[in-house]
Amino acid sequence: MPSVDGRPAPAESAAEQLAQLAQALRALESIILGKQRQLRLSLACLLSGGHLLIEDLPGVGKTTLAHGIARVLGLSCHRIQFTSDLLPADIVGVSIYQRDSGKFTFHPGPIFAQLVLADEVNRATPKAQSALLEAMEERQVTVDGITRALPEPFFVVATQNPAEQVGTFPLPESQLDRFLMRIRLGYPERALERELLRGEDRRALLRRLAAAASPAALLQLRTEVDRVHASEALLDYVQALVAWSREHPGYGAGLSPRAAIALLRAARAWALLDGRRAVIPEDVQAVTPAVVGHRLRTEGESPGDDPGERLVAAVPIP
Amino acid sequence: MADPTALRLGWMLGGLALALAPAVPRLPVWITAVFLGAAAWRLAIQRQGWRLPPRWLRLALAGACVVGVLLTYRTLNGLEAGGALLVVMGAMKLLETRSRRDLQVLSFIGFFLVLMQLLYDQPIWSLPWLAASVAAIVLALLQGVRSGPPLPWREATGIVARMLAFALPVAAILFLLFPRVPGPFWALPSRGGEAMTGLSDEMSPGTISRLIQSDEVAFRASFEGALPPPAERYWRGPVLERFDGWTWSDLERLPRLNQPLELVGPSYRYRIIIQPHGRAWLLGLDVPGAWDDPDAFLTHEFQLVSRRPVENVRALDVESWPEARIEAELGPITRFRSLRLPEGRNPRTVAFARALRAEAGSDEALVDALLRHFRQEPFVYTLQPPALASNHPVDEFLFRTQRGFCEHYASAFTVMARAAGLPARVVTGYQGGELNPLSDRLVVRQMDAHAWSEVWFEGRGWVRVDPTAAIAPDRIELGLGEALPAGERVPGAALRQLFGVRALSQGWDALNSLWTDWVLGYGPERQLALLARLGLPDGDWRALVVGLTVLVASIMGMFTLWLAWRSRGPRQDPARAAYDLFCARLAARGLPRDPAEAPADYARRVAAARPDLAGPVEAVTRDYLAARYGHGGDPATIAALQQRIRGFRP
Repeated sequence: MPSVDGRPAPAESAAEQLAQLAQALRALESIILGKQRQLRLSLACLLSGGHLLIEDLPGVGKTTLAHGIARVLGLSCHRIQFTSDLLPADIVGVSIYQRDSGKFTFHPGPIFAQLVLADEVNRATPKAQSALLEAMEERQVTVDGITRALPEPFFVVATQNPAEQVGTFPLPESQLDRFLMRIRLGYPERALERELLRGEDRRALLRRLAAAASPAALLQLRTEVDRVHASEALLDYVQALVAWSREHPGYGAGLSPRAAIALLRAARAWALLDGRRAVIPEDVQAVTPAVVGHRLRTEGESPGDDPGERLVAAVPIP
Repeated sequence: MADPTALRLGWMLGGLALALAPAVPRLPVWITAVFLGAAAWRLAIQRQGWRLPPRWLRLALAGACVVGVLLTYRTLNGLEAGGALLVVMGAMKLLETRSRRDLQVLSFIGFFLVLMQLLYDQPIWSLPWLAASVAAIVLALLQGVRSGPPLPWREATGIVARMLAFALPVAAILFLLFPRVPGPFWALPSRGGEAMTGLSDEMSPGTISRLIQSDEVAFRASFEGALPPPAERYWRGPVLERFDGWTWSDLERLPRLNQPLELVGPSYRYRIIIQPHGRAWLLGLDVPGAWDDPDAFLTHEFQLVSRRPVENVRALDVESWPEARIEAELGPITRFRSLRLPEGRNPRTVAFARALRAEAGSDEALVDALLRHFRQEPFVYTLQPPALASNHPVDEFLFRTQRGFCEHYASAFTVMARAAGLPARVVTGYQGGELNPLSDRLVVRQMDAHAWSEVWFEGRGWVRVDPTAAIAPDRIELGLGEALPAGERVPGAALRQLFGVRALSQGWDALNSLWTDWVLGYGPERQLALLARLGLPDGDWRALVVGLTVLVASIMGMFTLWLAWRSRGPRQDPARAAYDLFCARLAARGLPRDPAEAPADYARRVAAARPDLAGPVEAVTRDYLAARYGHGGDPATIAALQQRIRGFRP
């Protein structure tokens, strides 16, 4: 898309970082094949400071995606496998008495990483889930009365297996709301799957992947996201989407103001990823399914029916 | 009642009560009681937080109401029973009213109640009353179905007033142009069972004096030119030629006049507006000779009647010739009928008349002698005659009581004339009328009802003879009030004599006559005349309906456009307006943009379909996105976009 911005100058301030990010994206695309859109959404989610929920069946590359992102952006990465016996302390860490010094020392849990992969969050108890979700929201953890800030950037990629029902605790809607986006990966196309079979092991590829961008660049781009212009006309569109979901049947209770804010933020990040300094309706449309999909409870949701896509197709652009 | 639900309900109940109020006197008491009870119950439910009655109870109550209506009216059909059923069902609906939809249904019931009033009668006061009822129901509907808290009172009334004002032109057009079907209102059952004040086709002692008690308007007449003098204001009604000794009556079906009228002398042209009386006859000044109503005809007794009963206000133009000679040749049947007297009744009268006949040289002399008898004997003209109890009432009246009202005199005179061999009959109708200077109309009331005689002279035909004029000439010249003996009054007349009341009642009458003339009297004939003036002389009602639909639809369409224009919000973005033009031009080439389609997606789609347009379309889209979603959208960008789009001709 050509430059929308009337004034080309400010873009240059972060041009280098953008170029890095674009390179990182290309690197990711070489590992996870045929999922450009999801990769881009993931990066937009990261850029806008939100957290990502990947909902899909096992084996479609959820973990690879999380590791890949960490790798190309040079982020420290921890993985927490959620199980039914997982305790909050297993996530945030624990203070242990040191006999030689006679003091308690804090052993940080796996949450202290720039990218936390929370695998199969719905298999843990609500207690453990809420420890994670609290940390996501507060960007800090409090253990024994001491508050410890989490690293910056802090990005949680949670995965959830929708098919597994027995012994799981699906995240309630109020907690789903903590994730900026929910994406699905889905099966690869036939040709790409063949390539996957022919090619090298993805994990080996991952290990060889070099960081294309730095956490510092990411943080700088985050400040750029906030500066992306959203005109009145665009805000009208965001409000029209939200209002439509509230006024028309088939969207449950409708979208909250928080959802509207999330939508705008994600659209800004998307525009920036595109190298633009102003949001256009295309940006909003691109992120809407991922941003609103898990916030709308729809009655009798069928697999082919995505409420976000339905919303985008229905709402006229003002 | 701070609770908005209770407030809504209260408004709806108020509107319904207002709509129902005029019907209350017509409805059986229990129906009103059911309605009030249901309303009170529903309000109590609202206030006390009770539960609505369960389904089985509502069903049982509704069933009981239907049975009640059936028992009261013996039918569920017809205006009376149907109306009562509507009211009780509205009451039952109250008991299950909880959602907005229920309020809507209630409001429709309310509108039906309003309409129901008009099926009975349409007095002038009904207009403001019905307007108020409709406004109240619309107000309740407005408050009831809109979301959010109820509007403030003042704002809501303002909205309703505006809504009704906007509906007014449509109503006026429909009133003037909606095809008016002659005859009773479609298949509506006639109101035959109801008694309406007016002349009857029978006359016995007391018939007319009962009518005198009413000062209801019978009809109004507006004359072209001079009014006839009071002594000529005889309005010809039912002509009665059958006498059974007590009651004068006539044939059920009146044969048409089968001979030409001999119209001589001066004539009066006037428009007569008759209040509904439920019978077939129209009234005309003696003798009506020409009229403009195709439904009207003259009977062989020179009575103007209509093919259909006068159930609505009827207006017709009539021309009358007071000196017309009617029925110069008397047919044998009519002669026989006009001479027939019941056997063995009133022997003294018969003997007396025969004696007079023997003395009198001619028929005219006989009539003079008969009238002289009335003048010379101490006859009294009174509204309170003694009751006639014997089998020979005419004998009793003529020779014993000698006190009577016009029906007594007309009856006695006709009997004597027949006994003396002179064909005679009784004519009933109205005599007189009061000119209302405000409306310039002659107002004839039921109290002007009168009866007189007609006798047939060889060569002259039927001639009017009014024995009342012989006894009380003031009745004819000055009206009933002046003719009655001291101490006797026409009901309500004294009140009307007071100056202020007189002016007031004349004003009211003038208003009423405007109402009947312009609103109620606007019938099929006048509609046809109006259509002719509008250039639709054939009055094809199909074309009329189509035309009306188009007219009303275009009015509503224009109104909607106006509303849309008014609520278009802030002025449309110039970039957007230009882009809309761009989209419209592409749409004309078979590439319409979906309203939800993002501009860049659209541009891609257009470029794929029409590669030749790819360049300009992409440039327009780029400019549009920059102007509308970029920083500020400076005038230069917008101007460039407009320029580009103006030059874009796919």
